[in-house]
Amino acid sequence: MDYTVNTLFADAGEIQADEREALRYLGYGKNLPDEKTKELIAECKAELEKVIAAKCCYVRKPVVLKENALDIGFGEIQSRALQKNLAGCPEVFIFAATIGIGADRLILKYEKTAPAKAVVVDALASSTIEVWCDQVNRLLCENKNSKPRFSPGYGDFDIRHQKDIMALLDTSRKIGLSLTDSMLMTPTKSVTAVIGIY
Amino acid sequence: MKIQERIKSKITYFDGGMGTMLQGMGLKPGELPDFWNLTHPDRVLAVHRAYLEAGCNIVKTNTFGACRLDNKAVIIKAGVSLAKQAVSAFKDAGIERYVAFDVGPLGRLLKPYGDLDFEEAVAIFAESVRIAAACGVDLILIETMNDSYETKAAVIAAKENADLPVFVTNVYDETGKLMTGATPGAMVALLEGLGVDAVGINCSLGPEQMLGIVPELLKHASVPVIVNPNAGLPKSADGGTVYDVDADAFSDIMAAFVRMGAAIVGGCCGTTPEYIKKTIEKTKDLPLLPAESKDETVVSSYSRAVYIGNEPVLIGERINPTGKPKIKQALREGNLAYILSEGLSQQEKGAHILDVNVGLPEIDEVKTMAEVVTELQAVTDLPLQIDTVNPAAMEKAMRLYNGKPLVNSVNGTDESMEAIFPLVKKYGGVLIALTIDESGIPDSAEGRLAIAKRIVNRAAAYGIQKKDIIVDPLALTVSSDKNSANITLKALKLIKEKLGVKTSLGVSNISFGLPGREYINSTFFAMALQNGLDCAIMNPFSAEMMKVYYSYRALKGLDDNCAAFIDFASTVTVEQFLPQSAAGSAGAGSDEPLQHAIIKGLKEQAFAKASEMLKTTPPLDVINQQIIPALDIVGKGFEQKTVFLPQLLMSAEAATAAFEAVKSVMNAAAGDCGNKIILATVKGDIHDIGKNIVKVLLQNYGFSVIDLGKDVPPETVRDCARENGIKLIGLSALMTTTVPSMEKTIKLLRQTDPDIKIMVGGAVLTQEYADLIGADYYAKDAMEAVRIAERFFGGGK
Repeated sequence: MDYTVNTLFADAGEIQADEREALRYLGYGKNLPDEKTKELIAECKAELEKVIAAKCCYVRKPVVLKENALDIGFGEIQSRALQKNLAGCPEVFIFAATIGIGADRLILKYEKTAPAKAVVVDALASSTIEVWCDQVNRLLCENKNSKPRFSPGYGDFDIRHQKDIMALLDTSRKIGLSLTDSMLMTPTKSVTAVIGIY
Repeated sequence: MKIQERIKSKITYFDGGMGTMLQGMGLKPGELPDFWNLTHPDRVLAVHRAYLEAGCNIVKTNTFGACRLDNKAVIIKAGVSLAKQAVSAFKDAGIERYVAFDVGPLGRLLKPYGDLDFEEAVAIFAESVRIAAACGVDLILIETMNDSYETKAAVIAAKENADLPVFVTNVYDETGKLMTGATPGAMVALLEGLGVDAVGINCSLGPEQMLGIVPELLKHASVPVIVNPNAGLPKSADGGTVYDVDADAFSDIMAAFVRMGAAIVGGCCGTTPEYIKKTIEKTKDLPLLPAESKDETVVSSYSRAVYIGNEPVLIGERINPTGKPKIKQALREGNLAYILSEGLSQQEKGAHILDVNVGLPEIDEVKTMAEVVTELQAVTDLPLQIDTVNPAAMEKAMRLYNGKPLVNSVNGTDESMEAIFPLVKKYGGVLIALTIDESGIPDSAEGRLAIAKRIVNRAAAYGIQKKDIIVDPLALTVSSDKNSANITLKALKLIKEKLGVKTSLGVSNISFGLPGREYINSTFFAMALQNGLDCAIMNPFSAEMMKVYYSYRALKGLDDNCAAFIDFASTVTVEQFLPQSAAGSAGAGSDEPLQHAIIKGLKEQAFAKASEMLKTTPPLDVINQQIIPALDIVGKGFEQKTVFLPQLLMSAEAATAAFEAVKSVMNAAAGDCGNKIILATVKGDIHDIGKNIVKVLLQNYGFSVIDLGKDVPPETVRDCARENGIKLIGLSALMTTTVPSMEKTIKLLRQTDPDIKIMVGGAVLTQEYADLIGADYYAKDAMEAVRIAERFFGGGK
């Protein structure tokens, strides 16, 4: 079994924003944007695409069930929700994914100079990291049965385990992903998660 | 032999991976190897010994992650002691051995993308460097850095706190750049500017993937180049982790690197003593290709290097208050957004470097220069030219600058040279040298050459090379002396020929006092280029100047297939260069064209229509009868979910443009009368976007916003509220982890200033949550924040 930390990179242009998701984040619901907004979105999407550097590192680990806790490679986790999510899974993938600092840079630039573009790039970038996670999920779980991915901060899965995952995967070194003192991931468009496989 | 001499005379060998070796001895993934200096010193020592036995010259202390630890002192002391102990046992084998204090990244991203302040990073590294230097090491190795800014912080700390050689290796990713964007050329520029002794690459991908990057380093570096790759990528085998490039393949590629010119080689993750041994066997008889001094005049930003001399370089001059009332006003009001936009639009027009001058008598130049440079380098990837006569402002800006800047300027007076040369020596930079001294500007080309010569010679005494000096022989207006252009051009040519330095001119000075200045400027620009001008400080918005620039490149054979010229000529119209053209369309068909423009979010039109209206309508009527009603229509639409956030903000931007037009006819003071509100994103939170949206809308509705930014400590909020007599504060937090910080801020305010009201907002907040942490109001979105403020202050403005 391969318990090594591996890395994945997307090719330039391979990972693109999901416009419909982005519109949802922007509060559109079922409504469609007007022409001017459509233009704005297209412009922002093109700019964002140029700066996306999608990277991921992951590891496969056995699940060890203990009394009221479970261990997937970085000490004991007390979380009923995660335990439920992983029920029947002898193993998990643990991964960290990011679309890189370029998106943050673009958002910051427009926050200062063009707020409408800033919110649109922000929404597009949020959808992009989800697209990248979906892709990672697909690649990892090919030909396997898997559970929906579960991140620190979901339910009672303490967000502080983000730190453990990042240490385990050595994300700072491998994909340039680090944490602030208040447990925010930087670059901000990043995700850590656990996927149960069975 | 000293290590500095050794690397110039013989191929020098680093050891290989430490962490991965210790993992083989039982270190768990995620566990920090540094702790083993205390818990398993024998094993750390064994790894050092094995590498020394393999024949390496430099042993890295097991302190890669120590800088970030609270108990760094004991760990570093133990780490250095183990390395020294190992080396001392191998001293007499006829091989030179050295101990390198190993400094890895802090694992936190620097501001503005993370929460770590630059000077805080310098201080953390500095503490570690002092501890290691006191223990006695031979050199400092700063390694595995994936951010140019953190690298700079570490190098400054090393230089300021120890008198030791400094080696630096960075991590380049599959695109051949650092995670934060720097190319090898940009890193070489930055690091040689800071005076490091060797530069290179480590970790990253396998050695094969470095084949594209190492030649780039060698091409630009004047100091020896280090190559310390991983043993390829990790994979599992027999229950453990192995790397996919074996010692034979690894050492073959390492030999190739040495043949290319790498002077210092070793390994990183996954390499073992066997890898080092084989590398030594295959390279020990190869000749060292000494690093040649590269005659490159180069400045850099966080991502790119700009080489001066190959073709004309345009330095955008517009961030300068002299003769620009709008910049003046922006600087006085601390309106950085305007200055940033000015920078970005010059970049769009084709500037290669941006000049930054914030000199106004009534502002604190040191503080403002630092702020503008910090903000500007976050939004543009162009290198900056720091332009000030205040040495303290110069030093602060050079220190905080994320790259190797252009330094504007030094002149031939002792006072200037003594103030500026040490800064360039310490922080790196390319100097603009003005040919003026105590006796003024010589009126002959020879006189200006003499000053230039003196500056170059004096700089050499400080260790500043000629390639880092650009001489500006000074353009003086032709209106007061008909020969002044001739003298300047002659001086330009002479200085270039006799001194072999690059040249620069503030081109537009030539036409001072004349009408039709652009005609004179552009013709003079063409003449100067023909006489050897390398950089022009100029206005990229000047169509005449850009015409010369593109035409000259095409005529000089610098523009393949005239592609850039054709692109320029086919898209450009004179009108595009006029700022804020008033050419609005008449066909909007609306009774209220200004309202229409704002509702539709048309920025240029809103400005034009407002300007038009202001000719016949009092400014306050334009605001109250047009801008505010238009905003209200959009705002109500947003509340009723027929208008969405991007449109709301486009309208807000259009309204802002209309306000600009109003402001330009009103007294500057009139814009400052709104009710004041503080906005802040709380301590620990670096998501600023929601708060910024609220700010734009509040300003549109006439409120005066004091924006404290993000990651704001509770005390700062309170102090600012007291200073400004604030009654309403808006706090934003995006994450559950930062809501406690919001609560803390509220508690502090409640204790000491109970009559201040607080509204809160942010992704994770709800009315219940807001009540729970004791806020007065909960704003579910930006419009709601406006409504709360309106109710609070009693109906609008």
